[in-house]
Amino acid sequence: MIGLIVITHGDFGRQLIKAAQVILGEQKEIWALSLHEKDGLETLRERIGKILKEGSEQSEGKIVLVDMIGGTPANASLKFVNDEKVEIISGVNLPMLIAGMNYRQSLPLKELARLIRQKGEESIVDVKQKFLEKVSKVKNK
Amino acid sequence: MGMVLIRIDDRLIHGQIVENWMKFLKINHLIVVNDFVASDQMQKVLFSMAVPEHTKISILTIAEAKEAILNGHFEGDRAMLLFASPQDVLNLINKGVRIKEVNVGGIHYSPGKKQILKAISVSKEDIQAFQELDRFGVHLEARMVPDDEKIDIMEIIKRETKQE
Repeated sequence: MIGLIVITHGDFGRQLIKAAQVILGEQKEIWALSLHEKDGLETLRERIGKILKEGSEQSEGKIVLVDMIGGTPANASLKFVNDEKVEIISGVNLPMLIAGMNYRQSLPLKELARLIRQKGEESIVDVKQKFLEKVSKVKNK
Repeated sequence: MGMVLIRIDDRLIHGQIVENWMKFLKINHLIVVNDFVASDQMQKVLFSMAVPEHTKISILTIAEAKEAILNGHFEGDRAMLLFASPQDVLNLINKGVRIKEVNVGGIHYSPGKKQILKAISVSKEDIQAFQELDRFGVHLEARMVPDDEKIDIMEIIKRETKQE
């Protein structure tokens, strides 16, 4: 199973995992790392490194989901950019995490990373506009 | 094939359905059975937006659902039927549809109801409907998501009604 690591400013990632588990039930092979005021870049790098080592021999790889490109979680993750078994994606949200959880047993690492990115991009929708368009289509039928 | 899962969940279509149950059971046809939603264009649009594009979705009244089921319309599908209440399921059975098993996913709390499980709160009318379903031989299993433990809801209702 591909592992998922959610790294964010504050406890956003921890809570995001909880939210996803309300929908999908308890998950294994998933980690949250929270960056707090006292934490520096190097301490975060070390914590990421430790998680990446867990079960890395037989692991199919891990996907690091960070909150924002340019932020410390993303910057710290970049230390592992040359690791073949690590993918890093920014902008983590609930649909992305759910996609990761739902397909990590059926897709190889690179394809899973691509799907997660795609789901994230598709998830940003002007809901009001979409709803009103659909309603007007129904009315004009 | 046919009706793979019949579920009571008053939120009808939501994240647990689309992202979890449908994938888990490989559902290809989602059917909301609800007189109110089926007669309200806005509600219909709202629920049709809750499923991924290209998902087959039907929103039927209880009477329409009866016709569809008795005419075997879902035989070639892997269908999931969603009801908002045990009364609606009972209503369908009273119209002549046979149902063996119902999953109870969520009935939300409101004043006057009693919470019996994390996601299930029941009124007196709900309890009566469950008891009636039980008498019809319908197996009632409480389970929010597939990985949760299956709980026999009648066991809990029996315990609750004894206490009163």
